[in-house]
Amino acid sequence: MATRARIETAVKEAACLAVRGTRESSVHQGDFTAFVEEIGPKLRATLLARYGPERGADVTAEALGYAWEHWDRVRAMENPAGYLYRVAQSQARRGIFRPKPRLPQPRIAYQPPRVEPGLKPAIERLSPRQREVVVLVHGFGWTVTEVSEMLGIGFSSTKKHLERALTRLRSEMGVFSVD
Amino acid sequence: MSTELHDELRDYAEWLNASAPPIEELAPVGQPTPAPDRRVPGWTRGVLALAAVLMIGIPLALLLDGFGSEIGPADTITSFPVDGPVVLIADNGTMVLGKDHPPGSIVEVELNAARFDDVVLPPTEVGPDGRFEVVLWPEHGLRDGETAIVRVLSGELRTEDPATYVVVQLGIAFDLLDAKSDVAVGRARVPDGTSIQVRIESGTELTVVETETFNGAWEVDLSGTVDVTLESVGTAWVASGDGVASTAPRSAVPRPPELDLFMGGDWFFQGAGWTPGAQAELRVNGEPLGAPVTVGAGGRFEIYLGDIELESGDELAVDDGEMTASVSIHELVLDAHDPQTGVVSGTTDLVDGSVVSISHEASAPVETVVGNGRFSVAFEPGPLSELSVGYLEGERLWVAGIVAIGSDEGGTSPPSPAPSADQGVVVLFDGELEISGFGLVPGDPVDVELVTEGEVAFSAQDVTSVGADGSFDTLFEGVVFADGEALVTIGETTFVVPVVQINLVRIFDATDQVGVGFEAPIGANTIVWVANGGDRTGIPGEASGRTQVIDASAPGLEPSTVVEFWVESGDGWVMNRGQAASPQLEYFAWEGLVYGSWFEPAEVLEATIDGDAVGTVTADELGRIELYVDLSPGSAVALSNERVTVDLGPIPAIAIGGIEGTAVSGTADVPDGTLLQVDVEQGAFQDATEVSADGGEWTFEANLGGPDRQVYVRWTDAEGDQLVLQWIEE
Repeated sequence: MATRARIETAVKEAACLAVRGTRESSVHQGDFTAFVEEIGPKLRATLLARYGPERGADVTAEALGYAWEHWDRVRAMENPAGYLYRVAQSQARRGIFRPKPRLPQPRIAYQPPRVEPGLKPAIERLSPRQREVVVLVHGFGWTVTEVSEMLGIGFSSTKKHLERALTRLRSEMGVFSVD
Repeated sequence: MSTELHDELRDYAEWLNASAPPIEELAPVGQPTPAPDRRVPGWTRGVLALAAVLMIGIPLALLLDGFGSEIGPADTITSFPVDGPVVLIADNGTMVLGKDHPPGSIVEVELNAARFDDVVLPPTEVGPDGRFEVVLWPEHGLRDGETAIVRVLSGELRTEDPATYVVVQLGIAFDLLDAKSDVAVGRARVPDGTSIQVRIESGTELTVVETETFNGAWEVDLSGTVDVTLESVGTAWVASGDGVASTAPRSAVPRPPELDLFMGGDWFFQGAGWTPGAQAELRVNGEPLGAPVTVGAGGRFEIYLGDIELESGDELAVDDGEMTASVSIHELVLDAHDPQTGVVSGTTDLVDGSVVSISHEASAPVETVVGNGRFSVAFEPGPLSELSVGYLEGERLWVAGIVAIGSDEGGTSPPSPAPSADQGVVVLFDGELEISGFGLVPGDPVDVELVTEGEVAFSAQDVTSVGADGSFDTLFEGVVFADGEALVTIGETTFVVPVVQINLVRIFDATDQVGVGFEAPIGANTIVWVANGGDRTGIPGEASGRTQVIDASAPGLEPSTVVEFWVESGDGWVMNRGQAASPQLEYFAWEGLVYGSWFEPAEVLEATIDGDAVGTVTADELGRIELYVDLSPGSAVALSNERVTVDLGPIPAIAIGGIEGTAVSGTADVPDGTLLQVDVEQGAFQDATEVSADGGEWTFEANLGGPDRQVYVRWTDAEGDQLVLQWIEE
C-alpha cells in the first residue's frame, strides 16, 4: 500500500479509534477495576480452555497479579489480554505440574451442565493449542479473529488448529455425524 | 461441525465456567499504586536499535543508535542535537518515543510491516513534559525496513495541525542497509566499531561531529554511501540537511549478536558475537528461563533447552547484560519431496514474503520465499535423507528446525514385527507418527501418503528404503495425523492402512496384577494383539461399535513394562504403546496435600493415618485424589479399598537448610546413600544428590538463575510413592 493510501486509511481508522477510545480510555488511563472487568473474562476463558478449571484459575490469578504489579506497563499495552496470556503461560511453565491446594469450597446451588463423559478426556488429549482454540470458538463462542488476537497467532494458523481439533474430536467422539 | 458436538462443547465451556472461581475472586483488590514517572522508562540494557527517523513535512531527522552501554532514553532524547519535536524507535524496535511535542496532544501510531496486517494502536497522550512513549506488542516490534507512522494531533480539538512522522526501523543490520526509505543510516560490521557507514541520497552533504569535535564533511557521491572513520570514543553525530543521526557512545560497541535456534527433538540455542564473559540469560515470552550461561572468550555460548514446550508465536530472547536479541517461533513443516524433480516443499505459518531457507545435510542453504503459506526448493533429483529448514528474521536471526522427511532418527524403539504375518506395515501413532515394515524386499524405496477425508494431507517419496533384513522404520517428526488412511508404497506394492485411534485410557490394578487398558473403534472381527515384552496375546474384538476397553492385564507386567496394542487394520496394523503404572501417592509437605493418581475413576477409598481411619475419599473422573492432612515425620498415610492398597510412609525427616552460594544443603533421616531428587525453580527433578554417611547430610550444587530462588526436594519410597518438600528464599 502506498504511503499516501496508508495514511488515508490510518486517518479513517483513527477516527474509528477516537470513538472506541472513549471506551478504551478507562483501561489505558489506569482504572484497574475496569481493566479486570474488560480483560479478565477473556483471559480467564482462554486459560480455562487451555489448562482446565483448577490450573486455569490459578494462572489467571497469577497473570492478573502480574498486571497489578506492573500496571504502569500493562495499561499502556496494545493487547494487554494477549500479553497476560503469555505471562500466564510462563507462570504455568514455572510451577510444579500438580494442582495447588484449595480450601474447601462451599457447595453452591448451581449445577453445571452434565458434560458428555467422553468429551472431557477427548479434549484433554488434544494439544493445548487445539484445546484452547476449539473451546474458545465452539464453547465460548469467540470468533476466530478474536482467538487469533488473544493467542498472538495468525488467522490461518488458528483455523488450522481448529480444524485439527474438530477432526480429532469427531474421531474420538465417534457418535457424532460429520456435517 | 455437527450440532451435537457443538452443543457438547457449549456444555463443556459452561462447565469450565462453573468450575472455576469468578474473575472477581481471581483479581487483586484495589488500585495499583502509580509508579514514578515512567513515561520514558530507563533502558536497563544496551540499546540494539538502529533507527532512522524521517519526518515528513518537517525537518528531516536521522537517528542512529548503537548498542553496548547504558543509555537512558531521557538522556538520549535530551541530548539529541535537534530542537523541536522528535520521534524515534527504541528498545530494539519495541518502543516509540517522542519529545518536545505539545502537551496533551493525542498520539496515534500505525505500524506497517509485511509480517502482519497494518496495525493502528490505541491512542496515547503527550505528557506535560512533552514526551510520550508507546510500548509495542512483541509481535509487532519493528524490524529492518518496517515503518511506524506516528501522528501527533494537537490543538484544542486535537485535530489541528497534525504532524506525521514516518519512522523506519533499521534494526541491527550493519552491512549495507536495504531500508525501504529514502534515507538510511547504517554502521559497518567491523569488530572494533570504529567506522560507520552512511547510505543516503547522492549529492547530500554530510557533516560528522564526534563528541563536540568536528570530524569532517562529505558530499555523497553517486553510490549513495560514505564510510566515515571515527576518531574519538563517544557519541558521533551525522548531520544531513536538517536531520541528524547519532551513534551511541562507542566505548563498548561490540559486534552484532547472532543467534541460532535449533530444534532437533530437543531445542538449543547457539550464539556468536556476544560479550565475552557476560552472563547470557534466556527468556521465554519475557520470563527468565533457567540459569544464565557464561559467554565464552570467543563471544559464543550455547544454551540447551531440552524438550521445553515451545509453540508458534512464542518469543525467545537472549540478554547478556549489554545486548539482547530475540526470535519468534514459527511452524515449518516439510511435507513433500519429489525425487524425480528434487523439489521439496512444505507449509508454514510465516506470513507470505518471509524468507525460508532449506539445506540438505551439509549443503549450503537454499532460500525461498513463502507464498500462500507454502514454500518449495529444488535440490538435485534423487533421494534425500534429512533436511534442515529455517527462516530469516530481519537480517540477524537464523532459526533452524531439523525437519526430517522420513528420518531414520528418533523414536523410542522400532516396533516389533507384527504377530501374525510374514510381511506387513505397521503404523504407530503415540503422539508422533512412525511407520515401519517387515518381510519386504531389501533396497525397495518407501513412499508414504497420508489421506484424510479424501484429501492428501501429507506426501513423501523415497522417505527411506528397506534394509538388508527386509525391514524399515521411519519417524515422521512433527507430522500430526489422527484420522484417515496411510498409503505406504514399497517397491510395486501399496499397503493401505486405515489409521484408527488407539487411546490408552487408564492404567489400573486388575486383581493382583498390574494391567493397562485401551480403547479403540474396532469391529467384531478385529483381532487385537497385546504385546508385553516378547509375548503376545491375540484378543478378538468383542463387539462392533464406537469404542471398547480391553483388559490387557497379564502376568509379569511391571509398572515399567512397555505394553503394545496392535489392531489389524486394512493391509497392516495400527499400534500404540504405553507403560503400565499402578496407583501412586505424592505428599506435598508444604501444602499438606496427599495427591493420588492412577486410581479407578470414581473409586472410593478409605484413608488412614498411622492406621487410624480418617475418612473416605473419592477419585475424580481421571482417577485423581486430593486429601489434605498434616503428616509429621514418622507418620504414614494409606488409601485402600477391596481392590487396592497404597501407602506412603513412614515419612522421613528431611530438611532443606537453604542456599549458600550455589550450594543447597540439608539433612535427611534416611539410610546413607539414599538418593534425593533436588530441583530449583522448575520442578523438573532432573538431578539427584546422595545423602552422605556423615550425619545424614546432603548437598546439591544448584544451577540457580532468575529472581526466584526456590528449592524442591523429593524422596521416593520403594513403591514409587513420593514426599516433596519446598523451600523458598525469603
